[in-house]
Amino acid sequence: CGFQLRGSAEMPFRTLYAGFPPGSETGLEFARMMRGNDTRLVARPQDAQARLEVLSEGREKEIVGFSSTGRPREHQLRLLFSFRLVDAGEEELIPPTRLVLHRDITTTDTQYVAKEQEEALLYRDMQRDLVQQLLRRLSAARR
Amino acid sequence: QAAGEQGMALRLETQLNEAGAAQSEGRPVYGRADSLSGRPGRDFTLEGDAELRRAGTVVRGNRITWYPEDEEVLAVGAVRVVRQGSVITGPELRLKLDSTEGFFTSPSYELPLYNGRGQAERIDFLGPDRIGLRNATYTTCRPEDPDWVLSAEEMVIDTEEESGKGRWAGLSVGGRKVLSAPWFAFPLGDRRRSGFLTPGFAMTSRTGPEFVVPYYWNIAPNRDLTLHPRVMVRRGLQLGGQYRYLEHNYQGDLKVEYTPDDSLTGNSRYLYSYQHSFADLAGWGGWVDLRGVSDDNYFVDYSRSILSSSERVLPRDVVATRRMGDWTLLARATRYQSILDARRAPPYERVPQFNATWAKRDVAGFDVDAMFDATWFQRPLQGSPEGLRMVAFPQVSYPIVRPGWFVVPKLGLHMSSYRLDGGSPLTETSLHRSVPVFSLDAGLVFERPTSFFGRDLTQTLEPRVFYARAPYRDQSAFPVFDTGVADFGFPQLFSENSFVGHDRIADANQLTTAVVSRLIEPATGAESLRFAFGQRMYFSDQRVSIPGVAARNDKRSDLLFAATAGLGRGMSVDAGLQYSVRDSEVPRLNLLWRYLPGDGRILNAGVRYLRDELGQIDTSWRWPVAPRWTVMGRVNYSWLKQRVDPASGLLVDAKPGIIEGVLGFEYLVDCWTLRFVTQRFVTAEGRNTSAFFLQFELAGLARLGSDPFDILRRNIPGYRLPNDRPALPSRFFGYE
Repeated sequence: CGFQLRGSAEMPFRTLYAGFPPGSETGLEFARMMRGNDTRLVARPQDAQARLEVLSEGREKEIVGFSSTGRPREHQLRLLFSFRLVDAGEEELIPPTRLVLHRDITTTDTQYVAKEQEEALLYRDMQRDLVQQLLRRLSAARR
Repeated sequence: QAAGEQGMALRLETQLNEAGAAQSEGRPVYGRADSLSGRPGRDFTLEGDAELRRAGTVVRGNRITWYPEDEEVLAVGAVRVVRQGSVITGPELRLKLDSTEGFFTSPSYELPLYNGRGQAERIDFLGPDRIGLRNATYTTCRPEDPDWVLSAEEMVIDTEEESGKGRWAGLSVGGRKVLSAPWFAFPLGDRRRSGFLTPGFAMTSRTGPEFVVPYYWNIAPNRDLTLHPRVMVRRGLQLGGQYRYLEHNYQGDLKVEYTPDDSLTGNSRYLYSYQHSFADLAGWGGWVDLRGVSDDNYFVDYSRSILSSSERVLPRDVVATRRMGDWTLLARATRYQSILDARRAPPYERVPQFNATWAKRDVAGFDVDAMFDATWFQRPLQGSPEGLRMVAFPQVSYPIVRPGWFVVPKLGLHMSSYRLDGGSPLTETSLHRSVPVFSLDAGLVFERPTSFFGRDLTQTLEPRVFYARAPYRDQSAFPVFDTGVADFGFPQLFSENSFVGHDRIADANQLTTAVVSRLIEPATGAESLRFAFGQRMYFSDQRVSIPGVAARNDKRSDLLFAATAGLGRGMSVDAGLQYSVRDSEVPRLNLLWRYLPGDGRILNAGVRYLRDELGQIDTSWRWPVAPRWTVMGRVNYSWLKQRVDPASGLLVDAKPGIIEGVLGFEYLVDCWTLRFVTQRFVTAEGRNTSAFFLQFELAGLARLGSDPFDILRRNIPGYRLPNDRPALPSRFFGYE
């Protein structure tokens, strides 16, 4: 039916500096997914042919479902991420782009602490998803 | 071609650069006219359609005389001056170009940046950014027949400070004087400045009519204080305040509300909320979150939105963390104030908790994670087991990740030890448990080019399997401090443990299969559609359970579907569905359709269903219905007749009805807006609060009445302030 195993996600640059803040979990996941890619991550921006600039990364939590007695029953967790990609000559390869991911989670007061840990699980899932989307966008960068 | 080889490229500036033009000192003066006469070095006269310009200033008129010695301009007849974003026209002008001082007689003026205009008897130029006006008017309406006019005997407009100030002023609306004041100030832009904010009036069914005069103190660029004394007809005086600060490695926000003598309950009532976060304090970062109220009914009585009225558990949380190489350390103490129904089943408090995680990536291809936790649990409920729990959970995985596939085997050993305090109902006071957990996660990524509605796209097909194995350990004697059943969703399908928390480690022998398919725009890599399907197969019945929740005994889980699609023309759909094959029913459903065609038009419609817990139709909109009228609102209707009581776990009766309803109208004329918003929400079992807001806004001048924007923004996703000013244009905007 025309499906083929995805080849190496060729990025239009050989070296990339990923400007995630130190210790960023998304940055760690990004580095992990870049293993086995032809493009190499470098530690210093001046050594890179392209630079991924993380403009912002934030989390939001909103109540999206109230019970009939006005109690929160469902939350939506959001991961908001903005980035841009520039080459060594400061030319913009990808203009500032915002990615928003969301996951819903049920909530009750009695499970207040348990839900905290489930939220962490959902944020990890979103980070993983975010990195996938980010890699796709980097691969499609203007050549 | 040569330039290209050297790698030169023009860079696009989106705005003209201010730096060069603002400096007028020593810049040449250019003139143009039908005829030129004069004495060199003393004066020049330009006549007939004359124009004189120098960096930052343009003067036009029938006749312009220029005295180079004094750098002075005298212009007569249909004079027009453009400078610093203001346009002034009149019969006669005298202006010194070096100091930009001078005056204009009987002029009219315009501030295109702020959409403001008016007339005056005389305008004095008081330097580059300030003009003084005598017997002047100001409006943001169209000049022909302004609906409102501000007039003053003396007025100073400062484009640097972005403010207007005046003395002996009056406000006329529809030709009738409605307000007069010996002194007033109005903002031109949105810059923060100290002073009284516009008074607000609103009405809620629990506080009656209320009136608030906020005072804003801009202490420093990174610190401010807002005081809002509020008079509530049914409850008396309330003092409220908010103090915010922002430093490079810490920031905070303190809110207090205090009602010294509530006339209905006869006692003093208060709320406090303090959030502080810090980074790099001797290597530690963290936060403080303290919230509390005087009594259980505080939110029911005082809240203006369902967000605060729905709160039952208020945290008092202090957290400090630090990273040391591959280690992350955390120390935490958390207590809660549980109010109303949450008193029957309050959460466990962690007093204190110490946690350390160690994450080492790529040690000869292995990823190593280890978690160590020691927490003292307490609960303010009679008969609850309390005590110390220690957990160690090392895990090793070997991820093999390639662009087209991945395999991740993982092995972990969950070890825990409990020391329970005396008086607990459990007979054993010391408990130990260790559970090995194995999982194998593997997936493939296929791609093919396709076309969809005439667009060329890339379609992916991503099958994924996840196998988890953990042996059974009897855990019925273990207390449940912080553990619950995880939701049945896609992220949770790929978790080894069907519980969240460390008090229960599920016995598992199960395989999850899932398929995701996406449509991707090849030009940008953006995802325009996603479809996902997932199910879990169980090779053995689950024996570990949590009190109050029956253990699972089916061979196949419910089916999960999810779809997200941007349909173009501002339309998008987001759907999630759980289907039970055994019972032929849908335990969980989310469906949201959004339509944002632009021009401030918004339409959201959705359904949320969670068996016995949630069942609601949610729709919100903002739609212009007539040239000047916009209708906005939200209806969140619950149809459930029965629901599970979270504390007891039993089914109880529920009444169908509107959980939250908002209806608003906006009447918008070019320079003023009338806004009317009414809201009704459930505050507790069988209790409602209604609120009513009226706002009259003079564009670019003031908003009178209560601020309903928070309500609109929250209830109508996509709502923006109608007069949200885009980024100020360059000073060359309107350049002549």
